[in-house]
Amino acid sequence: MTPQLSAGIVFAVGAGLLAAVFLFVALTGRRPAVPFDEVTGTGYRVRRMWFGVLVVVALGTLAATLPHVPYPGVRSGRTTGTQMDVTVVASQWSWDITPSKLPAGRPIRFRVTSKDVNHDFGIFDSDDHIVGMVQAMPGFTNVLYLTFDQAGTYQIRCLELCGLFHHAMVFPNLEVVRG
Amino acid sequence: MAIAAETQTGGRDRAVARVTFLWLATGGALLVVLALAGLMLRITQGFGLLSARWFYAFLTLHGTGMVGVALTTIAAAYWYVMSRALPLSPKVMFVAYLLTLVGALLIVAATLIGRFGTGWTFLYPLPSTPGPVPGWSGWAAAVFLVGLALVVVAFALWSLDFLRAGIVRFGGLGRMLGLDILSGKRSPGPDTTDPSIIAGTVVAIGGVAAAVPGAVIVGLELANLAAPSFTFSALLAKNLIFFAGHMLVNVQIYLGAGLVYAILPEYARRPWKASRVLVIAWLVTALFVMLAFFHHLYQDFAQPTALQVVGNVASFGVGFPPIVVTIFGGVLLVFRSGIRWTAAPIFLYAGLAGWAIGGFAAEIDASPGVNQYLHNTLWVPAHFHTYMALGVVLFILGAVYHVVPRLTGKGLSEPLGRAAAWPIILGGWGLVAAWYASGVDSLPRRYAISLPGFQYMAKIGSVFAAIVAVGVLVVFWDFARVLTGRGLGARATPGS
Repeated sequence: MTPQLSAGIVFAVGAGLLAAVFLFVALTGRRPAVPFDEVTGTGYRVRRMWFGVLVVVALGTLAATLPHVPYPGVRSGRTTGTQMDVTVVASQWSWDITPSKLPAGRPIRFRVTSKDVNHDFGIFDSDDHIVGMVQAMPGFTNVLYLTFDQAGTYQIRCLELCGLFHHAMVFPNLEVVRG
Repeated sequence: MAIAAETQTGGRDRAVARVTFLWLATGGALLVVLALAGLMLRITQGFGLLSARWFYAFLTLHGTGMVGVALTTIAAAYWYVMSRALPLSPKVMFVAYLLTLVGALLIVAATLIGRFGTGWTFLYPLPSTPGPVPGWSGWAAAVFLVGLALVVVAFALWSLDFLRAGIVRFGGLGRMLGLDILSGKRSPGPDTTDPSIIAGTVVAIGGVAAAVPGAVIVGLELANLAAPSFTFSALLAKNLIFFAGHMLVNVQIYLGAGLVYAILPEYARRPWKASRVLVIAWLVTALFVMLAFFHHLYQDFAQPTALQVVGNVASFGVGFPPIVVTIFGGVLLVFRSGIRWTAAPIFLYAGLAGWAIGGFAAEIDASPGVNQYLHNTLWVPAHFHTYMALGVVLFILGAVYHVVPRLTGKGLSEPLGRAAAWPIILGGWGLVAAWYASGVDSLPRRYAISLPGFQYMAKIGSVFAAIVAVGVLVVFWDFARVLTGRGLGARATPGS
């Protein structure tokens, strides 16, 4: 399952539950009214529980996701094996990637910059799903560590609006081979 | 309103009503036009309609216009509701209106005549660097930046006048925020602040805070346009843009909260008083909303990692006050209240749902590790349209149904309003659902041409957007009929 699909499922479940609560409460509004004081006691108890649940969820999510931030200071420490350096230079509206034939299973260190404006270096697998990204910024070199698990042809697309041909800024064949 | 202080004379009543009338009529018309521009974007991605040059110009008009017009329209509705409790100045409001109007016209000229197409984000140095096949010229970029600056200045004026009026009424910023309630010096009552004013105070502080980096980045980019040899850090530019931009988008939903606090109790026939919990919630909001914008820069790895972590924590933190206090409070207010579901509470309550669910989607994207896969995909317009179109705009519609009878002495049609709510709300959810699914499929946002094989998503979205448009046009037609047919009546009475 892709990370995107996991996020989509979590959202669909959470949104469905929230929508159900809103609908349920809206329908209770049609029933005979009860004084507000009669519902606030239970309501505030539920609110405390709700707050507690959310604190646990937020802290748990932080604990689970912070170690997986994509930043080089974190990822380089978690990367094992000989790294391969790849230079990426973006410009309106093309990508210069050297080398463009990469090994699967070996950590790649993309060094990404831009000659002109901001671009976003988005790496799409053969199923058209994003497997990683980093901004290409003029005046800065951003480092993205990534290990390709699967061999195949990957595409690079720009994900930051960069002018008239932004949508056509594609590098169609980043080859990843077993080797 | 909990605060019943009479602060106006008959002359002020009329001035308040006139300026509100102007805002709502102008804002309503612009929102409809901008929504139709958004519909054209979806149709282009699904069926092909606009060229890339026009697509990016319309994208910029739709995004910038919606952010600016929704902000100023909801601010006007909130201002009207608050005008009974606070000595707000109709003159300042009128100046803000003129500035906004001129700013909006400049943005329209920059995009529709100059075809300026950077999106509302105008990331440096794109405005001065349109590329080897330029989509726009320097004058269009300059006009856009000046227009945007005028709208930001107008909102800063609105904010300063709100703070002035609040300080005159309560004697200090602390009491506006309810610090006296928090410290136990006073119990909530006629002499203390109320939930609406607390929300408005946080908004006004944010409006002033956003104006500073907003002015700096506009000045820097104009200097770069005038003298290309003058350059500055692209990373600094992004921080300035997103501090101001994120703030000005977030305060809109907080103004919506202010409206809900003031209006929903009338329909639920239950009070919504200030409390220590509510004061703490808004203080937490005031702090975290200043820091959450770092999540826009998660993929800018040059940003210090510590700031990315601050952005992550603040983004999670800023979600707590609404979902635990305001939205929960709204739901509790309605629960078994015997509420009569007229158009105003329908839109306000549905807006709370949009805020809750859109906020949840935003929180999912707020971890850098998850953002790595969703950033700049259609997940992003999905979540911000959930709390903008299904939150802020619904709050505006709820406020309009509540305010217009008080403003004109003549109400909007209830059957039409209730009938229009269905296509607006259900069509809106269909529209954002197509975007969420597209985001899960990694479809990039802001593409003039959909990726091959994925046009069907845009087609589905277009159908739902058209359904929304039908509902919006019905409301607007009724709104225009009332405003033009009656104008300001003798019964014009500010506030609720």
